[in-house]
Amino acid sequence: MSEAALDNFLKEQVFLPGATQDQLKATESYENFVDLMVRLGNEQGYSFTPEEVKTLVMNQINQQKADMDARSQALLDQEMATNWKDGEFAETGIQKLRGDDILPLYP
Amino acid sequence: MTSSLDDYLKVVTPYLHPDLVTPQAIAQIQALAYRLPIASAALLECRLNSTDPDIDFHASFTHLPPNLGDPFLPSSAWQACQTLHQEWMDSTSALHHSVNNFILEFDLPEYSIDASSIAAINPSPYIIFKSGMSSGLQPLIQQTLEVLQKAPNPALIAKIQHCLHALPEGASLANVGVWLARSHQAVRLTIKEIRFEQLPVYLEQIGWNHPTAPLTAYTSTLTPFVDTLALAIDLDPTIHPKIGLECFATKDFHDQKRWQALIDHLVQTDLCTPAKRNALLDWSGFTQQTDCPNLWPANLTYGDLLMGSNAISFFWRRINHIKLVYEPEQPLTAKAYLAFGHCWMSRDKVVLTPRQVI
Repeated sequence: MSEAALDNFLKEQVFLPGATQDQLKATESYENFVDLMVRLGNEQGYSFTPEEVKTLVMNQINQQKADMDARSQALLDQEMATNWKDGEFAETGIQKLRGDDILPLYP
Repeated sequence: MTSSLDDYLKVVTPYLHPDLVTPQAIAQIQALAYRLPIASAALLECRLNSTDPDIDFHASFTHLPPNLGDPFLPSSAWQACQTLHQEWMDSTSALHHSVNNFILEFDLPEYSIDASSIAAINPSPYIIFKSGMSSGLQPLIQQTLEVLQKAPNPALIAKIQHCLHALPEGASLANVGVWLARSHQAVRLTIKEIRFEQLPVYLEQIGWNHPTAPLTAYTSTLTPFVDTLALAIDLDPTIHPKIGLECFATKDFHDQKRWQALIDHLVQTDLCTPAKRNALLDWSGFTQQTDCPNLWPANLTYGDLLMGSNAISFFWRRINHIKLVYEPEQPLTAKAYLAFGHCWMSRDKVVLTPRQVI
């Protein structure tokens, strides 16, 4: 259940502009980051452990590695199929934001 | 190595056109930002109707480290900011429950960028109240001034109270600050959601005894271009002749046409040079790690890893507002406030687009 709490904490508190993510950005080491995640989560009613945070980070690293391997293979396949020019590749950028999460700084 | 606000500034600097911010001004801001902790957002304040390269800087925080002033020479201004910050961070305090942001404004020296002049710089702090805080502000303001001014003048407290009681319908206090870095050490009040037609009566009611006709003649042309207006006044306890009108063309991040219409109007009325108009309109946008992998700040590493495919990590840039500065018998002037910051945001709130990079 605490894995779900960690997931909810990320979705409901960390991935929103505001004090929670600002505090996490100010940490200077991995250990401090994990400890602060657990403390802020507990303060806001989400119960999870440092080990669960570390496990999630490792899972994400492994997933990213797998994605990169798959993307590299896909690019290789595509290059062989279409004979792309050097330095030309597709990327994903931000078109726009939904909602008004980034309001003017003030008033 | 400790992260600094300079790490964020480096990401957005390539989008600052030299017509708007000169390389020398950027060097000054970088030297200052290197001594500041990372902020939730920052503002660059640029003059629009001249080639004046003078620029000021604002950093907005939702929390601060306890050693905020350490990279600067000790001063009463830094000490006051530190004390106010401690009271704000006390979870049992009224300030903690009422204040959303703590902002430090810096008047940068015009020419010098040597380390000693940057170390000697003082902040002028202001606080932004949480939205919906329209009543009960007087004790909070008094508490803030007791920290920032030690023993505030009772006449000043009474004048602030008068300014709040006289607020026109729909208007409310956005922020309060003290010009600790300036010799007059006046209090700044910013009144938000005030309307153009309410300005003359309100200014008269609070004792600003100057002609408003030159101002209203110009603001009457602005109405179609401005969505929200804020009035900035300084008092000590007399209200200073110079006032500011903060114009927000739109709250919609993507409505660039609204900003273009307002800024085009400023150009047509000689309040903005064409070169600065073009530079301003080029500012807004987003930057992701793939755009500048070598500049991506190290403090974002762990969060970037944790978010996986559930969120997007990006820097945003937007025009925050345009301020018109009016001083009786002086020409009207305009400034732009360029905002930037970093955000982790749920992927479902971001619309992605394929693009080709060559």
